[in-house]
Amino acid sequence: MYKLIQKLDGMMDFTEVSAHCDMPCGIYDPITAQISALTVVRMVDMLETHKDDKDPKSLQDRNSVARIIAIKETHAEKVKHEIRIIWGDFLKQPHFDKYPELNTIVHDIMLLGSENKQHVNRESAVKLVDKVNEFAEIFWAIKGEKTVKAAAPYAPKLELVYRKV
Amino acid sequence: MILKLVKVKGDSMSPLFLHGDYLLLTDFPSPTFWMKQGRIIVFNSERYGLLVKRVAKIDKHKKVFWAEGMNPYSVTTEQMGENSFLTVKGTVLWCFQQKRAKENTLKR
Repeated sequence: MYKLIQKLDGMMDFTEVSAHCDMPCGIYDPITAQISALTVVRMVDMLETHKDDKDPKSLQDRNSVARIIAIKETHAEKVKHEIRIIWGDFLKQPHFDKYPELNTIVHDIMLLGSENKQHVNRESAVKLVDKVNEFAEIFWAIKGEKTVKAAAPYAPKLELVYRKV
Repeated sequence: MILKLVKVKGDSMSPLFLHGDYLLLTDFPSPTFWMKQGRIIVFNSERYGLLVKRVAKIDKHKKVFWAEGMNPYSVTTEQMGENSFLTVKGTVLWCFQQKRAKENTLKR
């Protein structure tokens, strides 16, 4: 009987009902993406300071700049990765119905993440922080949690959306 | 719909239902007609989408219920929260199981 139904499913594609598990972790929090977005801004600011390097060809300066760029690259990608996890594993159709702007916000984050890997542009990096904040605000609303906005206690001290505790 | 077949995704209802099993649902004469504590139902959770869970508690006056999984890895009753009767899609009548060890067969 099971095999017969399985064949029917192949033809009719039955609706899936989720016996939803929190395995392997069920830990979702946009704060990782927010801190990474903030790191991108910080790296852009640090790169700006290297504009005035006395000897840009020195090994030490090149090493510093290369490390900063590598960190900017890693964290811009991390923003994309973390948001994709929440989008793919946590968010469900009812959330998209309730917040129809969600998919556009996620897509904007993907584009801004890539843009920040390609360029050194503070405006674009700040936009990334703002977009991830927007996403965090909706995420916490879905979880039924209140949020507060506060400046991060470290450079570049931009405003982040935090879960109110 | 009266009767409908749906496919189980995930393992929070194991050992009763496993990922890939098929369930026969009914919403006749109404989706909540057969609902009582301990029954397995399918409902549309605001947070998690379409879920199959066991009814943990019912408040008939407020027309709400709480659901539970059947193993420790399930999302908890608290996470699923209070759900309106209106979210119920049907009660599970039968499970068409894939091959498994004998102790995992559906017991009612």
